[in-house]
Amino acid sequence: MIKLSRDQFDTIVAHARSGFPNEICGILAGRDGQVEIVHQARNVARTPRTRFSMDPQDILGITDAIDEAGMDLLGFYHSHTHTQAYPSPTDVSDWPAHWYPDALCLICSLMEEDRPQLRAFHIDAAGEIEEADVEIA
Amino acid sequence: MSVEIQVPTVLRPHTGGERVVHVEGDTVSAAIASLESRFPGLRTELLNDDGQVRQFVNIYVNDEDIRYLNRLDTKLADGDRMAILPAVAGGQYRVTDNLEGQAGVR
Ligand SMILES: [Zn+2]
Repeated sequence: MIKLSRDQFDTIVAHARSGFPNEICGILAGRDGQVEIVHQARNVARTPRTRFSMDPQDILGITDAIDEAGMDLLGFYHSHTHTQAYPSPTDVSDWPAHWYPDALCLICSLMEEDRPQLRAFHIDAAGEIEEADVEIA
Repeated sequence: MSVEIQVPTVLRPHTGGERVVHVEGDTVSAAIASLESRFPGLRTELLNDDGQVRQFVNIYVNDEDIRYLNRLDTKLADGDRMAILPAVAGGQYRVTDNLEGQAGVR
């Protein structure tokens, strides 16, 4: 379960729309499953329309900031511009469960233009996918 | 020959919490060996059994990805900065799909 405010949800959707047609990505930080900060990161993939690769220096800076704030890294988010909000085979094979066993994989889908979707998944090192609840309040 | 190595949060348990460590080494490979001698166990976090950089690891020298330099043989000079960073990536289609040209259509 991950909890976001309506504003935080809107921030992620706005980020996804602003990056269109490219995929965007970022990190959610907070405490006890409640998001407190939406950190946007740069997508440095060579083919950003269909892939994302989070800027490593952004990861370093953001994870340091999360540590210093005494927060937890709750999840990584990225957008799907043309597919549903479900982890692709690439998402699963590239998922860094080794480093971040507790972080959720959040996907914001713009497939239906008027109905952006945000879903969250736990992906383990073996590639098992389990959906987690996203509460927007 | 001393180089500065930035250690990401996920690996700091290996370095006693240190964010930056200094080691000796004139190549990335030598620096990793010297890291391993100070912090046993760190090498296997970075390299696989074939001695190659793991999929979820990026190593940068002065902000350049060593995959685009000379990989583990990349030379280090006194004062160089090496960063070890976790890789976070994905994509909405299969790796083998080539939809890059069509993806903007909607
Ligand atoms: Zn994806």
